[in-house]
Amino acid sequence: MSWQDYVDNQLLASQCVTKACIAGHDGNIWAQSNGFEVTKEELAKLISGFDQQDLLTSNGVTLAGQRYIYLSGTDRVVRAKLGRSGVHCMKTTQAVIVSIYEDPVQPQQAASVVEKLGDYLITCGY
Amino acid sequence: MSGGTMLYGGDEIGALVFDPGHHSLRVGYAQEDSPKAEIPSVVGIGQAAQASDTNLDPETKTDNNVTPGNSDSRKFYVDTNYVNVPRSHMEVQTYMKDGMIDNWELFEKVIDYAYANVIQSEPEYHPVLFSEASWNVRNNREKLTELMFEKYNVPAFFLVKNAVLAAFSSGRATALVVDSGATHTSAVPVHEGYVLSQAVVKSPLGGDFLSRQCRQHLEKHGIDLSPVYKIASKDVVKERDNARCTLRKLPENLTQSWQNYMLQLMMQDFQMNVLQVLENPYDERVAAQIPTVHYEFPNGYHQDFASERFKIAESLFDNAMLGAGQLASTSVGMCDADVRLSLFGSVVVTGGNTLLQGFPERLNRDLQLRAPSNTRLKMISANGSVERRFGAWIGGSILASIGTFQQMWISSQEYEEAGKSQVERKCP
Repeated sequence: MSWQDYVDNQLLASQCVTKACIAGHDGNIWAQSNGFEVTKEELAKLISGFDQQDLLTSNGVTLAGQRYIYLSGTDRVVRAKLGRSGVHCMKTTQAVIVSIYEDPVQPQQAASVVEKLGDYLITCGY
Repeated sequence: MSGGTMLYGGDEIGALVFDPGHHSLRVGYAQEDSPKAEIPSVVGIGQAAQASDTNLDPETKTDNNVTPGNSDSRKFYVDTNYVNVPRSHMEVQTYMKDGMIDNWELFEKVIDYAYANVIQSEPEYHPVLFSEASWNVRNNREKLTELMFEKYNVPAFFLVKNAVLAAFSSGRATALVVDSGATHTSAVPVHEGYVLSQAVVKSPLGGDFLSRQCRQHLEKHGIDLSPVYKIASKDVVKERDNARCTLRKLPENLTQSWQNYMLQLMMQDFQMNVLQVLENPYDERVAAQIPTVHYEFPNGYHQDFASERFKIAESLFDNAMLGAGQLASTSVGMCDADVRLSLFGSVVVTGGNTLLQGFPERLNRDLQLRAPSNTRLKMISANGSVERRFGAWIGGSILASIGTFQQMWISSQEYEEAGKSQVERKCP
């Protein structure tokens, strides 16, 4: 399966995620969904935020020009929200899965989908 | 009901809401407006059954091993009617620590009691919603999930931070929740139903701290603090005269922990009736002008209390770092700039300790001083004592009854598939 397949057939197809992208730890985009204009700089900032939460707590998470308010996170997961839509990101061994969900999807649904894929990628070594 | 699958038929949800705290565990059914029971968060631990009193203690949940010579056949006493009775060698211990469940053995005894005496139904028929501290650790969450699914076989389970529930009970999804309880006062910002965990601020100044201050003050003034259980009868005396009372004959070997616990209850009564906090920082002259409050102690001694009422209560607010107003403003300061305005615009005051007379007004004033000028500050503090003491429980009751929440439970099937780490995913 190509990375684009992962985005389209695993993440978006679940209906729990409206936009997604998979990128490497350096910010290089491996695949992204249609219309999701996230830039390498935004991803790089997000990735450094996994280890240093302070970068995200004060400035929030900016993706595709939209600024989300940071909620919580660990060194593997970052959650952010803005109104009824939100962001759920998971860091795997070599990549980062970024997902955006919108009303009426609940954060937990997006989290389940993203983390299941993330755990699978980790077992594959990615 | 077919085994395993849950039918959510409109009103027939039957979910249970548990809200553990340092002062008490609130238990009840969802959709109701107050908990069925408030069980004190302490358990009396007695020695192995003595031959004489085995038939006098029908309340103990038997340990299944009452065989003599077994060193672990202790008796556990749960709830006010059993803990407050003077008994030889009964230690009183709490199962909570730092806002989180710490002693799981005792906690299980309390849950057993709750199901047997309060709910009076089997655990496997009711989905369970638990509240947790906003700073709860992953280990504890997973342990609780495991306990509920493995031991009690609940059909569905969910964990919510108590600050979020308190906000829901005031009809808000975004709020700054100031929760002053028995052991802690905390300021927790909630945004769209989720806690901003990096901005949670807490201090150890709570109801128990005030009780200790009261006790110190009264002992310093030589007032005899004999709790009710010691008094057999008392005579009427004039104000500030020495009390004249006859003492009861008590069992021997009453443990220190139990006596301290009973004394603490007495101090809580004094605290609730007497203490008040001024709207402005403590000023001797202002305090002297306010009418005194009269209080009678269990042994018959009675007197009026004037300025000390305010001085003791002031300790919650005047601390430079840990004062309630300071906590709230620090918490907001640690949040994303975009949410600060909305947080100041909904400050929810909850927790039993906030029933202290004058608490919301003083908090309002302190926050107003510390907030940036011309911020619109709005405080929501429920007027009824039930709503504030049980704020988190009521929020749980509301949440568990909402239609859209029913898809969010962790079902026993999901638990079997994904294990206890599912709680981290589904209950952020």
